[in-house]
Amino acid sequence: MSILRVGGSVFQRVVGLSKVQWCAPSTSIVSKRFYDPDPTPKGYDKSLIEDDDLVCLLKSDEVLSPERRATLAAKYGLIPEDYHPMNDSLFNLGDYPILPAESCLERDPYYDWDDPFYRRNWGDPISIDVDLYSPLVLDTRPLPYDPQQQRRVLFTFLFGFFFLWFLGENYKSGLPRCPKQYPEHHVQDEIKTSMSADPFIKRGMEPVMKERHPVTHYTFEKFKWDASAH
Amino acid sequence: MGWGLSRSIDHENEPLNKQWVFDKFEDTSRPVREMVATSEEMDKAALRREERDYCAHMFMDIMKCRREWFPELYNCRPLIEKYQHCTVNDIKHRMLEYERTKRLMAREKQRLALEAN
Repeated sequence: MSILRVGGSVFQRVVGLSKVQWCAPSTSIVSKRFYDPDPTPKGYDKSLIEDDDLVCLLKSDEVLSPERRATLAAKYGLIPEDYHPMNDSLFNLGDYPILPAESCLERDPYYDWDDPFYRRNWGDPISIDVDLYSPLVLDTRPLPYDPQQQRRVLFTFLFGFFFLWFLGENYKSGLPRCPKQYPEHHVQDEIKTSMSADPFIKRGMEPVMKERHPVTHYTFEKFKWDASAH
Repeated sequence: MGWGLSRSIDHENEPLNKQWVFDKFEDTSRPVREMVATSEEMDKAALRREERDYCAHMFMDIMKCRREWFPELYNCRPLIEKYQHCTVNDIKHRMLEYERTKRLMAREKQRLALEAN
């Protein structure tokens, strides 16, 4: 039965009965849905941009009349209310519009964009920081948790553990011990430095540093401790 | 109960890490602590500074066993347990030494106070 069903679907796909095409056909049929050699729609196929369509210069203190604002907004595909030129921003960037700083990831992923990767359509205005807000670089979606609360929890735990460390240093548990006893005295241990590794002392290079003197320690045991008995 | 939980320390009456205090109250009439491995053996075994203690011979045995039996390191388990016995005994010895020195300090302080009066 399954063979019959699969055969039916294959037949449907070859003949083209089914309305939804599942995947790109493999043999000698190239659908326009999957391969469009020139996807540029009409009106956007100009490779040469003329004078007025380029970014034009604007003075920093220039006040735009409503008509001029409308023409400039239409030039960038915006409505006049949304059009704010960058002539008075950080640098004078002419009449290029200020656009909201939202990354591509913030836009609807389920919409049928013309460019699904950058999630934009033909004719959409492009931000001056388009490379910054590309999906590979910056994600401006809101965080799942409140960052201030995150910071509060982080510092609480951090300083809490520092406080516990402080307590443990001051209130030791267990019986105290004397310093460890070694059978030989190393001359290199007499060097007192502020750093554990002092580059100005040639450790092991000078013969004095290699010297070891035998030391006698005394035990409480009257008889020698036998490890094999345990 | 509670002796292992916290402990108050009076720095004047405690030989904390002061080696000169331990040297002052050293008793040479006690039996000498035996070191099994010699310095030459430890040099040949290339032991590190902190491993050249009174349990070095057992540590060298463990290293030999590891070299011989690798990767079947469970064969060295008895040697490791002996070495752990030795290290724990060393810690007990250090605790006894500390307590002895502390009591001798207190006794000397008492004696000096009596002599002053």
